[in-house]
Amino acid sequence: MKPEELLFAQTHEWAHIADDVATIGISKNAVEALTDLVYMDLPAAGTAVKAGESFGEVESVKATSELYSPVDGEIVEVNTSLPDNLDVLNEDPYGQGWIIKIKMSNQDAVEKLLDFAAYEKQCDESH
Amino acid sequence: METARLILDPPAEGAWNMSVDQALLETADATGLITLRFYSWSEPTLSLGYFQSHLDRELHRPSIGCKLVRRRTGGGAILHDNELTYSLCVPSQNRWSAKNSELYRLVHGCIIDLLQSEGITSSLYGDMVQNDDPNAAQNSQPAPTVDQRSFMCFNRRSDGDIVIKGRKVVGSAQRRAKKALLQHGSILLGSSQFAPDLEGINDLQSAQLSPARLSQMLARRLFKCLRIEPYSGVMQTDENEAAKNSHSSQFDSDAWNRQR
Repeated sequence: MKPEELLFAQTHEWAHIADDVATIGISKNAVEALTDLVYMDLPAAGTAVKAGESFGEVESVKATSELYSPVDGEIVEVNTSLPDNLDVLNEDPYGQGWIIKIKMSNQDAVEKLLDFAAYEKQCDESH
Repeated sequence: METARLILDPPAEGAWNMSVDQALLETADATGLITLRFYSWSEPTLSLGYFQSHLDRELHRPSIGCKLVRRRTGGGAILHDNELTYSLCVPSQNRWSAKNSELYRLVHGCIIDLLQSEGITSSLYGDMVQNDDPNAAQNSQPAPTVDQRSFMCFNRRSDGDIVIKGRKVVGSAQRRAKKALLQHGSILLGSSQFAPDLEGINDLQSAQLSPARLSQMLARRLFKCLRIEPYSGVMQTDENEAAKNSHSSQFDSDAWNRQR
């Protein structure tokens, strides 16, 4: 997927919306900042998530960070091979590096997400 | 000038120490308040990195009888005995900004300068490797084999770690929340019977640094580096309540400590 086709949370997760299912990953900017990823902890399918709340964690050398859901709903699919193949995040963050798929219970949070241009602007300003 | 709270805590048990750091991080996340805290541990305690398996503690026989707590920060296990622990909670709008990593260098740079003022030569591991620092060459005894996957934090090395004669004496790790981060670290002052292969600053340089004196000196230096006006403080009532809650529900529970 191209980043221009995605929506972004201020917390650097991306969402691809197709009907009521959102595919979630983390942005290329975030992956590049997370040098030397060593662990990723993901939830099980069936877990309920809320926009802005943590759904998983990643550890890079010296830093542990939470991953935040951009939308409300229930996790219906998890990229379970990802924690054992973290290089995929570097190689294809917007494709094979997807993390979870969420069946959305509502679209309230989608309106608050940024398009790619707005997200890039946020990244430029925060560096 | 920006202000920050300085907390100098008496020794406490490991789960409580981790609960307090968590409460201070939550305050920084909610209000932007900066807190620098120094503390020690009321009994020798092994803290596990967030992603470590508790079963791996069996691999480290000397600490097998020590209490255990799981940190919310990553990295390797630390035996908290003859050391000083610090925690620094600061607001950060972007948890994955490169600026966050600079905090390691800033804090560790202050520690190196402070040690130098006490006549103790130390360096960042990255600088030692890059410059073939004589600080490493002076090593009279071979340092333990460096293994990035080693169970113990002080047997690992990364560029930002502080070393004396090639041996790691200060290591830190961060937990990054939405709007703030917690950086806490261990300053190894001396060896412990529960981790006898590790040597601290006092062992390596025949120094007599005490946790109390080091925390006072380091607080002064750090606030000067950060250009922040400190005030002496304690935890507020709501922070104390939050710490009590996370102590019982998380850090003091088997479910948390044995989750992996």
